[in-house]
Amino acid sequence: MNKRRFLTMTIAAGLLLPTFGAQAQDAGTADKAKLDKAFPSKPNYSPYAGRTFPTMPLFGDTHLHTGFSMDAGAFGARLTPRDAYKFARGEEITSNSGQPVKLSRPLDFLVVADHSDGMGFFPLLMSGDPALLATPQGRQWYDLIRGGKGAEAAFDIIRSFGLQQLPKGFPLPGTAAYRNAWGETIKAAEAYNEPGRFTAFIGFEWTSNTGGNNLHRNVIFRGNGTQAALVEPYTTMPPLGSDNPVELWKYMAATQDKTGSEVLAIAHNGNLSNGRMFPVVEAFGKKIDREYAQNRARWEPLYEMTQTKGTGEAHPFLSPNDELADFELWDKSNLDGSVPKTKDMLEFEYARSALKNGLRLEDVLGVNPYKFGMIGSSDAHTGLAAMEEDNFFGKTAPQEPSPERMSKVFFADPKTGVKVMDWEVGASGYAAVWATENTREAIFDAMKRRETYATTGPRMAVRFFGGWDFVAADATNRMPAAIGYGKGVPMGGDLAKAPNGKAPTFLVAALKDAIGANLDRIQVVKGWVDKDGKTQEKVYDVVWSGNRKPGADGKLPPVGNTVDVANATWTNTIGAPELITVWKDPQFDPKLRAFYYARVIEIPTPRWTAYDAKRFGVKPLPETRMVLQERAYTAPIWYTP
Amino acid sequence: MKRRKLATRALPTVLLLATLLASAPAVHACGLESPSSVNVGLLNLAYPNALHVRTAIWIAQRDGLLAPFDAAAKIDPQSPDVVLRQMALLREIRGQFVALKADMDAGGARAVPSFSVVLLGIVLWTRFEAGDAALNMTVHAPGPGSEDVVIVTDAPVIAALAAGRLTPAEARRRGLMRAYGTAQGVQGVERFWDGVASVKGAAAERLVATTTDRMQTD
Amino acid sequence: MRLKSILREPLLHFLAIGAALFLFFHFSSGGSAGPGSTRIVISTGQIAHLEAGFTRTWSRPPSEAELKGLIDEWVREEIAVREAMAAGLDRDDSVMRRRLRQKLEFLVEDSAEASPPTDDELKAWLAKHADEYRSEPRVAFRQVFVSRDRRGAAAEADAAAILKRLTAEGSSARIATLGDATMLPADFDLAPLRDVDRMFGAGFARQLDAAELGKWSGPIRSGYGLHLVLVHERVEGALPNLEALRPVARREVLAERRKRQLAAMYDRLLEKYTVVIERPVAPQGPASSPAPAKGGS
Repeated sequence: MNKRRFLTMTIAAGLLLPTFGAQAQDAGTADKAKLDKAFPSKPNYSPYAGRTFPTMPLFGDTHLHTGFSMDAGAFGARLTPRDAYKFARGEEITSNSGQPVKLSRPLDFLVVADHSDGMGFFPLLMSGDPALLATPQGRQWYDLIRGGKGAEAAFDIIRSFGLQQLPKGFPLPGTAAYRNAWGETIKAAEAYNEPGRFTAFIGFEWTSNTGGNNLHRNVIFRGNGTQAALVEPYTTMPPLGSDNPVELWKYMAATQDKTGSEVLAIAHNGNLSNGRMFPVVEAFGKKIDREYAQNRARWEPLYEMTQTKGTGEAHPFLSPNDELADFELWDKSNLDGSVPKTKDMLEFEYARSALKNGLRLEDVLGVNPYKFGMIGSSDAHTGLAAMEEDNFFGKTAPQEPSPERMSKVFFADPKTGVKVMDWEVGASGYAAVWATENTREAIFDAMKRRETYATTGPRMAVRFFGGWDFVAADATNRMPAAIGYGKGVPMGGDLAKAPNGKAPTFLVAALKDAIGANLDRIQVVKGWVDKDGKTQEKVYDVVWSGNRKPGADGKLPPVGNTVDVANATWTNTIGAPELITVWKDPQFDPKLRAFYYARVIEIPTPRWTAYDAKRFGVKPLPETRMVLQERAYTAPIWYTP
Repeated sequence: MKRRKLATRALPTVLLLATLLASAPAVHACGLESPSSVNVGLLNLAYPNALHVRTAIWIAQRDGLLAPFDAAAKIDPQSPDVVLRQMALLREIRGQFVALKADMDAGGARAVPSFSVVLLGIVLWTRFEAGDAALNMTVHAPGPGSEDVVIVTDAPVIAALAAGRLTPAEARRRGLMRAYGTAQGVQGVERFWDGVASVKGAAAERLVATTTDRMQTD
Repeated sequence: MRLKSILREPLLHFLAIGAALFLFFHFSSGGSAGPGSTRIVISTGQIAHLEAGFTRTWSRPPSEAELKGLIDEWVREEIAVREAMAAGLDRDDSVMRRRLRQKLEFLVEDSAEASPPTDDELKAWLAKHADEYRSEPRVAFRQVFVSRDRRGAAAEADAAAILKRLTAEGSSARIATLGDATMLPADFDLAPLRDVDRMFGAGFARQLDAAELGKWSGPIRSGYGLHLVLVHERVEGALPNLEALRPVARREVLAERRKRQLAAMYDRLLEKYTVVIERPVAPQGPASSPAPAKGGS
């Protein structure tokens, strides 16, 4: 091989940019046929042309609110969608409480998803909008707010909204005010969308909240502003809106037809839905049937696994054998604390059990309604997607850094006794997407095929491939990505009809966040439906740092803890910067449906509460969590017999 | 006498305020949960960037200019003695405003535009209106007057001002007080308050001077 | 004689023509005259405008009844406006005043866009804002990873040994079996420095800067371990040419022009007016310099 050819042929080895030149020397079983699958065309002069798979994860937030959202405005957010994009792109801006704030590194994409109900209302009212202030109701709200009786005003606004007794000038779909707010949202996204460098998606949040049960969805447009401007966001108030997801899906279908832009919806973390997020029998008075399953699977390819209001992967009650299931749980009630949670609700609002029930429903209905990939996002109501533990700017404007947030109550319902403290809010999370390039189309397409994973904040790079022919030597290969795509399917994909006598094998790898903590371990979570039609689950430790050995109980000893809480520091003297392995399911039954997803755990690090305690010199309340092990969850790979 | 009348008149309002704070209904929908957060939040919209005062205060506390943040002083609306604690807090604040007003009156009657001070933490309004002989002060006012200049600040700042540990000019410079209103009105109020502070300062200096004199002759 | 010369006076003719015109327009009042007139005419263009608005919202044109409703609403509004203005309700309304100001300023701003910016204007703007739009420097390099995690204390010595070998083999050294396997790319193609930092951690790009072009050097440290690097291409940040930035430059130049024209308009108009500011009774007491007014958005 002459020098020139070698140079032109040498592409970076490793997971992220595989190489041809390495073929001869490498361990691993890359053969030409498999590589052709990953590089279908003949090698060009340019080593990078013809590559068909993604090589770098892109990180973003799919769920951010600005002052355009009614509740964010009510809490004092004044930042606009433009401010939100500027911040996400890495600029330093001033927060709602006057503090300079900047991300450690820019994000790659952002969806500003303001609530569709009453979009743009408070900026409109407080700017003295003549239409609103001409009405006695509007005037009264304005005066109440100026008099510091914002809660009374907000209460009346919400009540009037529920009763549909709103004054002229209130932003409802079809009014000029609403068109302006939606128009400004679109303009902001168009202004900051820079293909190849930063993607700004157009979107909104549909806020179904009946009875305080959180069934919100973030709706994202694949297309541009001209297309999005042909429609207005779907709200929850009849006749133009509804609180039933089935109606939202109808709107989405009509929107696709009308605008020519694809849309998808991501359901809000279900942990505050009191069991209504993943119904198995009936929803809104209708039986869960094949049509429901088809629509749910079609319109909601992703699910928000983790955000500021807690993480919803697993619960100790549902998974008593999973010692890592108790993580940033919010399991006391619904969204406003009006109805406490009971144990029977948990199964229908946590992701793992939903995935399991989805398999079961597939048996019955022929379609799996809960076949989703995972992402994380913030749901911050500040306009700031600031979810790093040492740079956490809270969920609402009053929760921006100040000594008070270590001891304040977030919300409480005196009647039910439910109380959630500010410290329980988590600095989580972000969405990671394996897209071929940083554009709306590529990221959206990756979301649709579920090649995504959730992180609770840090930016680890995680790969998860499933196939029938991975072998141990693949884990030492210098181009695991090419191997992975060549011999199997990536996260979000499907395996079917096991070849005779074979069990599924998985190539899984994780690289720590470049400025973050080492990794403790990678696990694979398997869920399946057994012979009796009952759902089962098992968590496997598949690769870990150091030379720990599972104990007699089969459990891996913990990795250790280098966190100095008082100083809010930790050291990377434990754990490993990279983990990679090939794992085979030891208990595979080819006749049973199953799914597998990877869970990556970091070593313990200080939680934002520890940083606050140090920086403000404030003593935390006794039960405050100060340490956590951040994690990533990949989309599953499903097996169908 | 006047004080007692003020107290009995204020008592129902105090109790009303206390019960409101203690048991305000949780506002349902879109996560509008904590009423006090919404009061402060919407103040931030009505008086743009009022929330910046909160940040300025913790920075001043960190720098030692104000008494350090005391978490124990926070009143949990769910605690059993919440009403008693709130009344104690309100009495303390009222005392500070009375002291401030005494300083203002000591400087002689002045024509100052009417203004209202709102404390961010508990959203408490106190109105000042120029009267014939002295300023009329209404603690626990229902809200600002329609033409009032509005001063946004919080309890630690009032305490420091009342004790003379902080001058209004310094407070403004550090963002511990923000004024909202017409340019004329704001100027009038600020000039007035600065005048009060310098009278107080001058009186303090005279006191020090006479004390020193006395010491030297001893 | 005197009368004749007066009658020939151009000024008189001028006044007479003016009076005639005035009388003519006063009594003809075609179209909907302004406030004070009791005749309201809604034109076909106006009706078409109402129909278009309806269609946009409801995705269909209005029915007869709906159109009648729209027209009725419009007529009511017109009546209300005239009556309100006649009663002087527009006089002290601060919201109205703000809107009128806004509309006047829009007129000026619209005229600012009338003539597109010249190339000279664009070039001048570009020269002034060069630094903001300079493209980032880019780098392309190869790296061999030496894992501290796997080798422990021996990592430094191992890295030195590998460096010797790499130097011997030169820039096209076969690196596929050297050092440790990693998910990080061994070959990093030409990309901005921020992408380097994003992948390897903050500060890595700066360390790369010190490396001599075309030679293996290191080890450089990252959060992952040690790296021996060879930078084989560096591209300096460049100022993009006018063509690439034309839309941005055009937008900014127009914005500046709008601002200038507004300022000029106010300056010109101010000459027309006499402004008297009545100060309030000054407070007695020590004169202190007035603090600047704060607050407001």
